[in-house]
Amino acid sequence: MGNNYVNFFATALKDNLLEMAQLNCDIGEPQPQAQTFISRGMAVIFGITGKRPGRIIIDTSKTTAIKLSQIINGEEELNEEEVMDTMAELGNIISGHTITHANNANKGLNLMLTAPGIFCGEDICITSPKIQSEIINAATPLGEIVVSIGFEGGR
Amino acid sequence: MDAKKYAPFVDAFAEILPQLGFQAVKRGNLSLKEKLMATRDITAIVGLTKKIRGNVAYGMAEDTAKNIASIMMGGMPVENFDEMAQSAISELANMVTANAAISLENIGLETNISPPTLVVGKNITARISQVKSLMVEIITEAGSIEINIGLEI
Repeated sequence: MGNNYVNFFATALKDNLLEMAQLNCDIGEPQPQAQTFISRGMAVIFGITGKRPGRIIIDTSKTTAIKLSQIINGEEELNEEEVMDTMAELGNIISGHTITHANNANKGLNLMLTAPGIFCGEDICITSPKIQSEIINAATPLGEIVVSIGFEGGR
Repeated sequence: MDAKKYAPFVDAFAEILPQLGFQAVKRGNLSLKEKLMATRDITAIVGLTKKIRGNVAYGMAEDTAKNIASIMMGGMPVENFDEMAQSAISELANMVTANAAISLENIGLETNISPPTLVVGKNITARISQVKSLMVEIITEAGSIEINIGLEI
């Protein structure tokens, strides 16, 4: 379950960043995630329901989130809520592509994404006790974007 | 705001907590929260899909979380919010939300729930829904828990 979808997510992230923000990125190899995920400042969390419940975290620094949102919206002046909304929407598009791909490849999987929860602050730690996750790091000119994808019971 | 979609989340606490060894469970304040909200030390967020779409975020102080974990583990002292305590809070969030999902299904609103995710830290701003969420406080002997219900309906 894990690695294929992590790789697919990486491709979706790369394609969408290029399309929505004309941004090239270098994506590293997927790595197993430690028990606790330390946020860089803004974390968008999606739950996954269906045959393989899980969750996705898309995480950036606040500075990266602001710069990315400015490009996507074509506006300089954005308040915190608008930045959170933009990051949630970006996450929704990329995660949505990944979930659709998974459902098409495996009939009966019926994965669905929950609405995003967005958390912003210093020193945010995120844990999902039932979930084993992998992370990918995307290096962009605006800063790092880190994605954690995990399912109950691992792959 | 349709009360029958919100009530099962509150009722689930009254049903589940006594089964886990809690003696005193009562409802406290109730309020509507703006989309951007300040969180307590620990938030357990559970997502909902199908006929009900949104998130439920259970918020509590760290001391409350440790007290809850202690009660759930038969009174064993819990000094730190460690992996075992995190599992206990995650399991509590899972149990009450699953109970609420069953109640919703019984009134024709089939609901699937995601695994809980714990978000820990101070001075965090959160947005769990694109609409205002309903906050209901539950007061127990372990401390106060706020249930933030953000349904996109």
